[in-house]
Amino acid sequence: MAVAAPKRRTAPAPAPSRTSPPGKAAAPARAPQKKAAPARRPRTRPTPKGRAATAPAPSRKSPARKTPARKSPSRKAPARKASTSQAPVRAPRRARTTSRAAAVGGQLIPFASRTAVAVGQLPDSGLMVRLTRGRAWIAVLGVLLAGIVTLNVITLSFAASSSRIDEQITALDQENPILRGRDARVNSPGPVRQAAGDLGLAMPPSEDIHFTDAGPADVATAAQRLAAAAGAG
Amino acid sequence: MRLIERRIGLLFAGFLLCFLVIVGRAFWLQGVQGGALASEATSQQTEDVTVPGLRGSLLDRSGNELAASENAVTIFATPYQVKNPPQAAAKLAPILELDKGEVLESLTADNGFSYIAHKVSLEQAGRVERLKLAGIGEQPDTRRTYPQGEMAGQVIGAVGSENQGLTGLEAGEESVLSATDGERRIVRDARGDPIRQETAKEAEDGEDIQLTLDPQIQEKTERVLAEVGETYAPKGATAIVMDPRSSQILAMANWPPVDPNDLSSASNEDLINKATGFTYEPGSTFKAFTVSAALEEKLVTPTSSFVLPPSIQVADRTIEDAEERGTETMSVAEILAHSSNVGAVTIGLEIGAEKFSRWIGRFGFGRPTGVQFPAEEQGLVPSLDEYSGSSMGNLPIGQGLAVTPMQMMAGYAAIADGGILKQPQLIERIGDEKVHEPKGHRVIDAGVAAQVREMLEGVLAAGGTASEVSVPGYTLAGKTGTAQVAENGTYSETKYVASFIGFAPAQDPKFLAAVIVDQPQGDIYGGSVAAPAFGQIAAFSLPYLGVAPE
Repeated sequence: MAVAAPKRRTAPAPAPSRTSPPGKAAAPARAPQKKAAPARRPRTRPTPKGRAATAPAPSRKSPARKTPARKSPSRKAPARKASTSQAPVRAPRRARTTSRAAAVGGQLIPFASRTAVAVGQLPDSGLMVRLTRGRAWIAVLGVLLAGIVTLNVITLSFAASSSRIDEQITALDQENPILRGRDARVNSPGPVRQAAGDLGLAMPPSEDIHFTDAGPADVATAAQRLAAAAGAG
Repeated sequence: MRLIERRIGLLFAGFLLCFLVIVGRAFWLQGVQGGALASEATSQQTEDVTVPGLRGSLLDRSGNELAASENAVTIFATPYQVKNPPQAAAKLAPILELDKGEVLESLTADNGFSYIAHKVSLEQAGRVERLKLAGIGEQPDTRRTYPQGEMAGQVIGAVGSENQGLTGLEAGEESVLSATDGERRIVRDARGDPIRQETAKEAEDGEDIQLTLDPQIQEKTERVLAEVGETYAPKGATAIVMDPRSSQILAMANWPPVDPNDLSSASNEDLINKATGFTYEPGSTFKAFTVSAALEEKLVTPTSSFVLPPSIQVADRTIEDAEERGTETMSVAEILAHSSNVGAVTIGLEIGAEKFSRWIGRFGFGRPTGVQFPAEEQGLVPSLDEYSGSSMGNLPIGQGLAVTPMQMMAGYAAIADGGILKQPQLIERIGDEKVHEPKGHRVIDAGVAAQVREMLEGVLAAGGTASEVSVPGYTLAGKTGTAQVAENGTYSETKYVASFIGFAPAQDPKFLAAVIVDQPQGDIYGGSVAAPAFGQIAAFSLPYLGVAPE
């Protein structure tokens, strides 16, 4: 649908005055389609001929491509110049009367206006013209749409996996106290004593427990014994 | 050409019609039914789930959990949604370990909501969930478990159905242990899988409390008490083990024991921690304080001798020793070693009522010790103006006043620790914060304390009232007590409280323990009922604590 629209409109356009013979100017919609082929040539010089195929009047488009570069700065220039030329004058006043946030806001205004101009000029940019002139833009649009859908799907899957991870964290958090309790049960003195008893271990009577006073020589002896035991093992 | 244009026109009209239908439908769904559908979708897609906060744990000094909370689930039914209740009950009952009839009753209740089982484990809940029974739902909950079972049951206490502390430390430290529930909003997709979780309110867990109880000593003490219970079938018994240097309680055991996991068979009396909640007349174990006061007042020395008749009359009371004897001369040390009532009353009379009353107060009797345990009894100590003519015939031998085992421990800890009376410490840490060690204050001179300790060695020496008790390698010191139970204004001839409080090593105590047995059967004497239990606990604890034999 979007492809057909410009073709219908280009048919009655006075473009032939520059790119095609006058006799073909009133040709039906198909005629320009056929003539769209030569329009590819100007890829090296895209603007004038490309425009000629689609633009209603060179008188409007040509300035739009050439003069805007000069004119739009010239149109905008006063605004920018006004702001830059006034800046030295206003700056001291702001420093005294306005906050720093207001100053930053003031700097954003020219940036925003430049951005608005750039966006406004985007439809007339060479890239857009090249894209929309042929059929490649359909593929580009398709890819973009597919990309948007993919992004949404990826975002949703991330959210879902994040939620699953949250659930796993919750489950593990819930498992921790249960395991701690199990650990406490296993390590309580009763079961340990029971297990030790099964292994033939028992607490010796107090009179059988001997304490030694450790001195420097004892450390050396212990080290020797440990080394000997390690060697034997 | 016209045909083509007509077709295009028809196509356009078709598209327009479809578009109008879609717009109309969209208007109907979003404009007219929008509110209702949105709320329905919200209720289907979003779910507000309560996230229960976990009650803080109670830990022993090694960090093992004595009481812990874990997530659980409460299973409920929406009876009118349950298909085939008998079949559902047959499936649920074995998983929930409930009677089938009981479950069926819940599933067929007349109202729109009925509980089937409270605080079911997550494992059981998972099995119920896998049954995918219509009308059966789950509510997140928490449950309290006591992994060590009966260990320190009365000290730990128990919680109610709403996880609120009912007894013991669970009740006493409710403000620290209790948790606050949170709330989480879960957004689900069409399949019911969660795609987003938002925490509406963060759950706040309670703080953990680490106790000073040593699991090994606690377990040993409980086993010893169990033997005492089995041998003498008393009404009750309690034992406390303490490090007198820090006043930290290493064990606090009660008999009969209770398992906080199942209190169904426990009576209200069984739930009382007798170490702080049992008041009794201390009897002869109190004589150590009488002698300490006399020494501090410089009225006697350990070698001061008294000629003691077989009995002594104070107002309307005649006091005799437990064993019949003639007139004898005894030193203060011998009075303690033989636990002479006549001797102790004689010393008490030397001190005088006014000073003696002051000394009772100085050792902390008549008021709670301040141990971090709820509902601590303060005992019953008559004020000076309440003294009758015979009071000084009773009080010096531990009659006519009621104390708690914890008060006696605190007093003996002062003797063992060079005369400094400290608040017993049961809680070592709350959360990450260490509880400050109580400083205490001096009640008797260090020299006097040493003299009393030396005299108390005689109780376990040959001829003493607990001479049969010994721990090889260690010098023990302590005092036996055999007190008649006061009943209806008189002392019972059949009911006694047998007790022993002692410490070791005698001159540098690192271990202090009390064993109090209420109304033992068969034998009644502190020296034969309680002192051997003390000996067993000491024989285990001293090497375990790394106290080198002397």
